[in-house]
Amino acid sequence: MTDIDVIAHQHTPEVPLIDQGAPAKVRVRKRGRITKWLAIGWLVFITISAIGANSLPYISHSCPGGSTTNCSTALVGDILSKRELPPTWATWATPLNKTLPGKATHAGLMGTDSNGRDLFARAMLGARNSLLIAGLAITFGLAIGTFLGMVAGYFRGWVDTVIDNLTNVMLAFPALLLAIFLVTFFNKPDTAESAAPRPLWPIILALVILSIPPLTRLVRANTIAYAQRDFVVAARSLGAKGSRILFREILPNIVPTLLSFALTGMALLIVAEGALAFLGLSVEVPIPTWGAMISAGSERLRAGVWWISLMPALVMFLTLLAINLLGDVLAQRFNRREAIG
Amino acid sequence: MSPHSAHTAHSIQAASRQLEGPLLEVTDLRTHFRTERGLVRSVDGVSFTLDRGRSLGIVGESGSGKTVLSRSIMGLLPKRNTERSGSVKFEGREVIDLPLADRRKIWGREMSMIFQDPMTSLNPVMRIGKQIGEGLRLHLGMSKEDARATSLHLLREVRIPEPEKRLDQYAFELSGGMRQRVMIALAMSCGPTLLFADEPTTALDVTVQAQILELIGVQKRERNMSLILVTHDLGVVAGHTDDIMVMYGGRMVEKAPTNVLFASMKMPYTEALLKSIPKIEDPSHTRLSVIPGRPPDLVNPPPGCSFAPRCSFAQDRCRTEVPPLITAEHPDHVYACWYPVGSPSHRARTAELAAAMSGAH
Amino acid sequence: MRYVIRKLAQTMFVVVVVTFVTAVALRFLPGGNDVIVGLKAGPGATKEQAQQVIKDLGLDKSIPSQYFKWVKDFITGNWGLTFQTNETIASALKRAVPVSAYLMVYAQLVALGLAVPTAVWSAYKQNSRFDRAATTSAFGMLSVPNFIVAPVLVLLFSVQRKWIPFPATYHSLWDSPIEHFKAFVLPTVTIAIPLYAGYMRVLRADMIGTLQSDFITTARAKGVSTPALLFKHALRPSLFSIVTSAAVQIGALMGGVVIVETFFTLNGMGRLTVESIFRHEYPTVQYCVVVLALVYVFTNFLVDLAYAWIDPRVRVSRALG
Repeated sequence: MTDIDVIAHQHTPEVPLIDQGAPAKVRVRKRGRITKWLAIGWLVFITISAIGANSLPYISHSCPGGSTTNCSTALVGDILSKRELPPTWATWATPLNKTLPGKATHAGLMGTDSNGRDLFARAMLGARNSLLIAGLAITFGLAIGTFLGMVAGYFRGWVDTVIDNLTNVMLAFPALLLAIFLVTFFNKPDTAESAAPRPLWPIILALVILSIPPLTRLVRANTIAYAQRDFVVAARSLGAKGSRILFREILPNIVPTLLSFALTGMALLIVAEGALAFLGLSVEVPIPTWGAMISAGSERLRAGVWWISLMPALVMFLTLLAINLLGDVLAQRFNRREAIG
Repeated sequence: MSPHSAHTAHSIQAASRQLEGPLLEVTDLRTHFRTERGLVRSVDGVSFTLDRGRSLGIVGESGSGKTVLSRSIMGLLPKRNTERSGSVKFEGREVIDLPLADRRKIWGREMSMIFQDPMTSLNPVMRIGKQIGEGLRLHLGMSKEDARATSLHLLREVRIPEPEKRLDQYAFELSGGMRQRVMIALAMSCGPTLLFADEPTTALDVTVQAQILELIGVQKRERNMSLILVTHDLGVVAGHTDDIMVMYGGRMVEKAPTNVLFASMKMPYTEALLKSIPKIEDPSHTRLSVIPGRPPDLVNPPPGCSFAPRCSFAQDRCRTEVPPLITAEHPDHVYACWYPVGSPSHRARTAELAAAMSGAH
Repeated sequence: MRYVIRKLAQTMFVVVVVTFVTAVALRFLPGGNDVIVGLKAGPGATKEQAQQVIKDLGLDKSIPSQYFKWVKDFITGNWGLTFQTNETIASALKRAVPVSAYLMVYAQLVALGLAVPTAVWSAYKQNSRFDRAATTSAFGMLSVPNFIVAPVLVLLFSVQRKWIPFPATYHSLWDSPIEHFKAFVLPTVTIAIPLYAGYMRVLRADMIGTLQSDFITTARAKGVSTPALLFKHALRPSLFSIVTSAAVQIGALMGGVVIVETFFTLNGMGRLTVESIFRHEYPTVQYCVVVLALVYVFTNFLVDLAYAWIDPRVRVSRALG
């Protein structure tokens, strides 16, 4: 590289063009840092809300009787007066008509659903299962995928051939269809009593199975790259055992990459769970997931009742955005190239 | 029109455009880059002229601003974060502030450039023939067939073996030397009047270097081009250019006709550069002298002569006052030094250093 | 050529395993044969009818011979009947495949058609206002799942403005093109949004790298115009990652198709598969999955060929390595 290229490309990106005159002040971008903290803040807020929904006043006060149980189960008495009320702020901008005289016209931050339950409280409650499912699934998926990927990438040979080909075959099945199949499979189709609340584990298991092949593939590629590095070759030439090299030399080096995979994967799994819920396959009431809420609300969309679907969608979107942002920050910090897929 | 005749026709046309005055006139050219560290003064007030058919070697270490200077003259630098001032007149016409569309008409046709690394400066996914033909079609309006035939002719001229085969090959299928020959063919294709060669041999094998320089020289003579050869190696320009300009810290520190420069160089920096080249007549295992220290910081250049911190002959004045360009005995020989080689103080210091050396042994 | 053969062999291997797994999976379903027989032959089936079903599906044979029977049936088009409507599976798929094919092709065209120029210009004017808007919006788009986009689009264009009917009914392109596009526009946009965002980011990153290479300066110094510089010189060497991501995203794209077809009630492959899964019509699911897997595998094969087109070096090195 010639010297001018070095100068030109070290610095060109950040500085705006100023025509002539004194040395320009260099604008250092602060934007990235602010959004990063906003993202962290939102995730902390969501997590706290999800865990402590029952005792957090900003959630429970909007539920009838101040109890979140009333927000998770359908109300009997008060339904008619409280059902499908738009969020308070929506009525400021465009006054909505067609409200019954003498009835309340709006309610809370996000409005109420068709059963008169407060949507904000439900969205926060929904975070619990959405995050729990995605979090558990990515943890297990990452553990298994890392193990398989490292073994395949380090030992190569027939182990690699088997793992790699299995991965390829798994990837050939459309992921969502596989998940749908697995969930119906684990949910025991012959017992059709839909009244019983569906357990969490089938969907978590399906998502774990779903996340293993891509993670294995990514870890394998990373392991292969590191296995050829000098420090690994050096360790091997000193007679270190395979397992020692894998866990002491290679694993610490791929941990940063794994972290950013974990975040991206978490976002993908939240979406996957949402998609399953959208198709009616996720866990059942009483505590909904975001996907189930969006799905339930979309039926009322055609009547112009948008908030039931879009408010939980907004919460989900913000969460995904925050996770992706952090994943991006991590990826940039550890200099991974743009994630493919 | 046969492709060959198209080519000669253009050469004649180029020749008939002879105008009065120098081909290139650079006056007080400054190129500064805005960076996070501050303003990098890569070229800081360089002036020179170049006549038609002449060749100029620009010599300096990396970071001396020689590459930026050549790209600046051509107008190839990205506009963003670059400040350029001064004047560049090409055939009497000011080209420094031309809009991109007009500069494009000059590039390739009037001025073209051969780059340092033939490994990376050819498009990896475009066939050789197409890359050479592109300029022909663009500037000379040739048809696809004519462009191909002319490309073939050009490849022959740069003496590439099996030129027909090369037309349909990709860069990665050629050796480094062949790629540089392709680059030369490409640069020559539209019959430019001024050719820049930016370290054309640095990335090549030693055995190939001489061939490439020879080829550039032959092409220059045959086409009556002017040549600016940029290099860090004083040895490269010695046999190949009429004049030599030495750059240091973004400034011209010495310029003279080649024979004059080697006969009586004035700048201690030029002398140091020369001493860092191994010579055939030296006994083997002779220690090469190296220039101590690093090239100057272009953001905060030292006061006074920018070479002073590394110069064995520097005195107090050198560290405070910038030496102006002084004309030597030969009218075309200029240098910027308070105590040039051959001056009394320089001689005294040389004797001192020699004594110290022998004392140390 | 060697490269093509090598890739073809890999592809065939995956095809064989995929079909094998799907074909034999029938045996290991919960509830076993009884469920299938019960569903297919109806609750009051006689023993003979049940035997016939088991024989039709090859469940009475050994695993390899069941697979070979299945492959034979698959190739000869003897796919059997769907359980409930007694329509042949082949004709159900015949109806569904074009719908999904249109959807995927439209979505790819829209996504690529927008992503390529945006990414190229973004990379060329890096950190300009345009670039920032493009990258930020693409980042946002990647975080909106399609089951959110779809309701929002319907709300905007079918509920608030009654421009596009919802739910749309499928019309063939040749009979009534306007109705056809009306039915496809919202589903296409829904799928194209994340696709566009992914392509745009990947291509922009590669393009920025390419624009810094020496051969771009060479082209510039030749006097090439900016559009020619960007599209003739810089674009092709920058296509690696976008092509890779096109292959990787085929899976995600199919997921999107499932959601979108279900939401917009388009009777395509996605909807057919999901409903068949729900109804436990496993033979139909089998064929759907195999068709989709074949599409995936075939696309990946095409992508490998595309690499060779993009970079002539691949023809040599990848065949060996």
